Amino acid sequence: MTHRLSRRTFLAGAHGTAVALPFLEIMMSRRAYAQGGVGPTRYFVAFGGTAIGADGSAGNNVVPVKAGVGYDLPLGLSQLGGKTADASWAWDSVQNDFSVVSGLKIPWDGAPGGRVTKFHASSAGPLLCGVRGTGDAPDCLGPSSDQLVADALGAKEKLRFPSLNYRVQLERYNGAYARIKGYMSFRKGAGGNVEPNTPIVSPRVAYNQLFEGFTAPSTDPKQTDARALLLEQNRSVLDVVSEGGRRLLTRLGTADKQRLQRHFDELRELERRLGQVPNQAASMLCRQLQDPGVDPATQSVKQEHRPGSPVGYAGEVERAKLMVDLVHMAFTCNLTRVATLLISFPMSFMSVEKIMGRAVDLHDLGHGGGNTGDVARAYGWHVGLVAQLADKLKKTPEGSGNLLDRSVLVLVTEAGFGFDPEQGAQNNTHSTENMVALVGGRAGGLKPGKHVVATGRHPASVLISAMTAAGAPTNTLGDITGGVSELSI
Amino acid sequence: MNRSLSVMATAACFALGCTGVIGGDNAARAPGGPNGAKTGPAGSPGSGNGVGGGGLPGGSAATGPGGAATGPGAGSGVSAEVPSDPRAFGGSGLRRLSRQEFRDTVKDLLGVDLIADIDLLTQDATSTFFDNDYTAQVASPALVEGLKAVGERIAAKVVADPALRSKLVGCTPTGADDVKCLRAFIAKFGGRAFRRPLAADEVERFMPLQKFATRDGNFYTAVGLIVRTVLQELEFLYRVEVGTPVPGMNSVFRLNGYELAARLSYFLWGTTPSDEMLDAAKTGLENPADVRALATTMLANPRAAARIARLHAMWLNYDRLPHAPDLAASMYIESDELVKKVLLTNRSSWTNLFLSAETFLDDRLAKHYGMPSPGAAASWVDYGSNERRGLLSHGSVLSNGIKFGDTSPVQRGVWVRNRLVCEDIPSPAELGIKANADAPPPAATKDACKSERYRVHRTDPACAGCHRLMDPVGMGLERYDEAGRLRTTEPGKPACPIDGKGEFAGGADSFTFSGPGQLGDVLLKSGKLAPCFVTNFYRFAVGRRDRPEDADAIKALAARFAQGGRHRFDELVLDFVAAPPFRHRSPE
Repeated sequence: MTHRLSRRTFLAGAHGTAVALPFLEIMMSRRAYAQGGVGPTRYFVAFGGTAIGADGSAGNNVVPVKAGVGYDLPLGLSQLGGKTADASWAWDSVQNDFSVVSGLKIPWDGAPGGRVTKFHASSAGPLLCGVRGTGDAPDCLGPSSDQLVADALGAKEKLRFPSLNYRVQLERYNGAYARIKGYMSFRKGAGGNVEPNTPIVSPRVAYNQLFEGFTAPSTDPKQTDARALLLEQNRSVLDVVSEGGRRLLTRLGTADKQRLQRHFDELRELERRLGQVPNQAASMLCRQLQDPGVDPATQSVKQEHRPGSPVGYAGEVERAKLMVDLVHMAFTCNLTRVATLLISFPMSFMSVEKIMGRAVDLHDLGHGGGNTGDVARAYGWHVGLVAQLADKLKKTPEGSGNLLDRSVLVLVTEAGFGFDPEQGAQNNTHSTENMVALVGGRAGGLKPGKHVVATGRHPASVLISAMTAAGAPTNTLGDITGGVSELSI
Repeated sequence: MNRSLSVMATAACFALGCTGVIGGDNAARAPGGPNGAKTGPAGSPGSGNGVGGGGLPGGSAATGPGGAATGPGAGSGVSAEVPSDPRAFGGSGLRRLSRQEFRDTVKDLLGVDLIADIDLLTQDATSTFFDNDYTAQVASPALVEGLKAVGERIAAKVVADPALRSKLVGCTPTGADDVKCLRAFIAKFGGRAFRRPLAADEVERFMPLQKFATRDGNFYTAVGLIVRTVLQELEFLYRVEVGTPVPGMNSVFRLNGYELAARLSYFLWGTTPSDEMLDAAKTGLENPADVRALATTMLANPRAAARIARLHAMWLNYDRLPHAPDLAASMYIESDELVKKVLLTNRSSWTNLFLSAETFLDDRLAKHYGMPSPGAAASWVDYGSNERRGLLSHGSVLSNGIKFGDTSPVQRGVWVRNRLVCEDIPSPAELGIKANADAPPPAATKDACKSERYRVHRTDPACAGCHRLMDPVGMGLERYDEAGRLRTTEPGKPACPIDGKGEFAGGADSFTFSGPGQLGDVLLKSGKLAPCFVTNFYRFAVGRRDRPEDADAIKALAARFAQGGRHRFDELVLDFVAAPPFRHRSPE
C-alpha cells in the first residue's frame, strides 16, 4: 500500500472547517518509524471470570508442562496456536508472541495487596489494582493499571480517548442487585475517590463513539462531505443540549445540582471529542469498520435478575468478535492507546452454551457442571479472543514493524486453582493459587514466547511489568512492588 | 422496628449453633442489622450499602435488600393514619428515567417503540428490587453515548414516517424555513417532553437547528434534530422537581401542579403524563381530593395495570423468565392477569394474590402444568382439588431459586426470606463459616437423594443455625420443578420420592405447610408478608431504599393497609398519593 496523504489533501478534505490542524501522526510517524524510531505503545488488559480447573479434580488443562521457551500448549491455551476451523474467525499462531506466567498467587493472610477470604467478592480488585478490597465487592480500591498507563501516556499526547473500556458479557445474566457490577477499570476521580469506568457493552454504541466524525484516509469527497455535515449537526445538537443543561443547573438545589453535574460533565466531554479534528490515522490500514448493526442476539435472553442458573444465550461470542475488531481498529487508528475488555464477570453466570454445546453457565462449569477439560475450553475461549487481537495487530504494519511489536496485551482471570481458605479445601476453583496470566506483544523490550513459572508471586507483578513495557515505568501497582523480570529477558 | 426484626432473623440464625466458628473479617457486622438499615452515599458503586447483609457473592447468599423489614402484625399501637407531615416520605432527589420508563415515554411522545434498540442504553443499576433506584444512577460516557445513539435511531424513524411526523409536528410547514410551524412544534413537543410549558426563550433555544433544514430544503431535517436534542436534554431525562418553599418549614418545598402530575404519572403509569394530566396540572391538583380523583382515573387505565403487574414482577423476580419465549409469555400473562383481576378489576383484598383458587391459563400452560385445558382461548380455570393456590403456584414465581440445573431448596428459601418477608440471610463467608455455597451439598453416594444431601445443612451445627430458616421452606416447594411443573420423584431418580413437606420458622411461631398454596397462606398468617410488601411498595414509589427516616411512614401505611383486614391495594395507592408528603419534597 503506497497511499500518500499530504497536508494539503487533508485540508481540502476537511471542507474548510476552520480548525487548527495538528501535526498529523500519519505524516510524522512514517518517517520516524522508518528510521527505526520507537512508535507509541498500546496497552490492553482483558479479564475473564473463570478458573483454570474444576472443583474436586486434581490438576488443570491450562498450565504448560514445559517451562521456558517452546512451551507446550495444553487445551486451555491451544487457541494461542491459531484457529482455522471457522474461516470467518480464523487466525494464525501467536504462541511466540505470548508468554504464559503461571504459579501466581494472591495471598489472603493479611499481606499487602492480598484479599479478604470471600472469594468472588475479593479477588479481582487485588488482581487488577494490587490493592486489598473490602470483601463486599470485587471492585478496586485503587486505580487499575490501564488507567495509570492512560495517565502516563496521555500526559505526552492528547488522543481522542484516554482509554476505552468495553465489556462482552451482558449485565442481565447477573443479579441486577448483586454487588458484582462488571467493572475492571478504575480511576482516581476528581475528589480523590476511586471510581469505576462504566464499560460500553453495546458494539453499536462503541462503534458510534469510535467512528463518529471519523475520517479515515479517504479519496471520496462525497463521503467526506456527508461526514462533515453529520459532524456539524451533531455538534449543533450537543450545543443546544449543553445550553439546556446549563440553564437547568441554575434552577436546582445543591444536592440535585451535584447529581446532574456528572451527567452534564459527560456531555461536555462528548462535545469536546466531537470538536476535535478526528483524523489521527497512524496507519494506512486505518479504516472505518462496517456498521455492526443491532447488537447480536440480545433478544434471546429472557432472564435478567436471577443469578445461579443457566440462562438464554445473549450473543457473547458474536459480541466479543466485534469488540476485538473495535479495539484493533482503535489502536490502528491511534484513537486511543489503552483499552480494557471485560470478557466475563467475576462470578460469571454467562451462558457458555455456544462454547460448550450445552446449556450451562460459566460459574457452574467449575463447580460440578463440568470437568477439567470443560473449564479449559471455556478458559480457552477467553484466550482465543486475546490471540485474535494479537493476530490482527501483528498483521497491521506500522513503521518498520507491526502493531503487535508496539503493544502489550494481558489476559488475567479471576481464579487460579488450588487451596480455598474459606472451605479449607484443596483442588478448588475458589482459589487464588496457581493463577495464570498471559502477556503478549513486544513493546518496551518484552521478550515473549516463554512459560515463566513465577511461583507465589502476585499477579499484579505481571501488570507492573506490562505497564513498564507500555511506557509507564513503575515498580509498584497498589501495594505490590516489583515486576516479573523474566518477561523481558 | 426495622432493625429489631433483622436482628431477630440473625439471632435465629445463631440459635442452633455456630459457636466457635464465627470469625474472619466481618464477624462483627451483624448481617441485616445495622448495616442493612444503613443507607450509603448515593450510587457509590460496589460499596455494598443498600444491599442487605446477605448479599455477598457467595452463591447462595441473599442478594436482596434487607434490614429494613417491617415487623409482623402491623397494628398494635401503630398509627394507621395517612402520614400528614410533608417530610414523612423522607428526602428525595432528581430521578432519571429508567430504561423501561424511557422506552414507554418515547412510545407515548413519538409513537416509536424502541424494542431491541433499548440495549443501546446502559442497564439500570439498583440497590432495590426495582429498576428505578435513583440513588444508584451514575452518568457515564457509556450512558451519554448510548442516549445519543438511541436518539439518532428514534429521530430517523420519526422523520422517515410521514404519518408519524405530521402527527408529531401538528402543523403543515410552508417550506423548509417555516419558522412559525417549527416554533409551534417545539412548543408542543418540548412541552410534552419536559412535562411543563416552555417559555418563549426556551423555544428559541432550538431554532438555530432550522439552518440544517434550510440548507437541504427539508423542514423535517430540523424536526429530526430537535427530536434528537430533546431526547438528550437533561430536563427530559431527569424529572425535575423544584417547587416553592413552604413558609415556616425549613427545606420543604411544595411541588407545582406539573411536577406533581409527573410524579403521579411515573409512579402509576411509568411514563410521561398525558395531555389531559398536563391540562389538569395547569389548573388544579391543588388539594388532596383532586389528586385522589386523578389517581382513581389513572388506576382505571391499562397503563396502571401494566405498571402494577410489573411492580409485582420485579418484587417477586419474575419479570424475565428463563424459559422459551412462548412458555414465558404464557406465564407472564397468567401472573399479570391475576394481579390485574385481584387488585384492579375486583378491587378485592391484596391477600387474594396468594389465596386465589383460580388461575388464568392458556392451552399451552395448562398442558405444561398438567391441568385441564381451557380450550382454544385462555381463560380462568379453577384449581379444584389440587394444592395450587395463588401467585406462588405460578410457573413464573416458581422459576426462582434454580441452581445447579435444578431447584435449590436453599435458594428458594432465601428468595422467600428476602422477597416475601424482608429478611436477610447472611452468607457463610459473611459469618466466617468455612463452606462453599457455590457447590451442591456433597453426596455420600452417587444415588443419594437430594433430601439426603441437604441433610448436612441440618446436622452440621455451623450450618443449621441459618439453614433451618431456608431449606425447610424450599423443601416445601420441592414438588414443583424449575418451571412450576408438579413432580413426585426427583428428576432422574425414581427411587427418590419427594414428600414436599415444608416448614416456615420465624420468630416465636413455626408453620408447617405443603406446597406453594399453603406457603402463601402461612406467610400471610405469619403477619410478615403484607408489611414486607408495603416496604417494597414504598421503595418502588420513592425510587430508592428505605431509610430510617422513612420507618414511621412505612409503618403507618402498613397499618392502614391491614386495617380491618381489608388490604386494598387501590386504597394503599390513593392514600399514598393523597398524603401531604407526596406533594412535597425535602432535599436530601
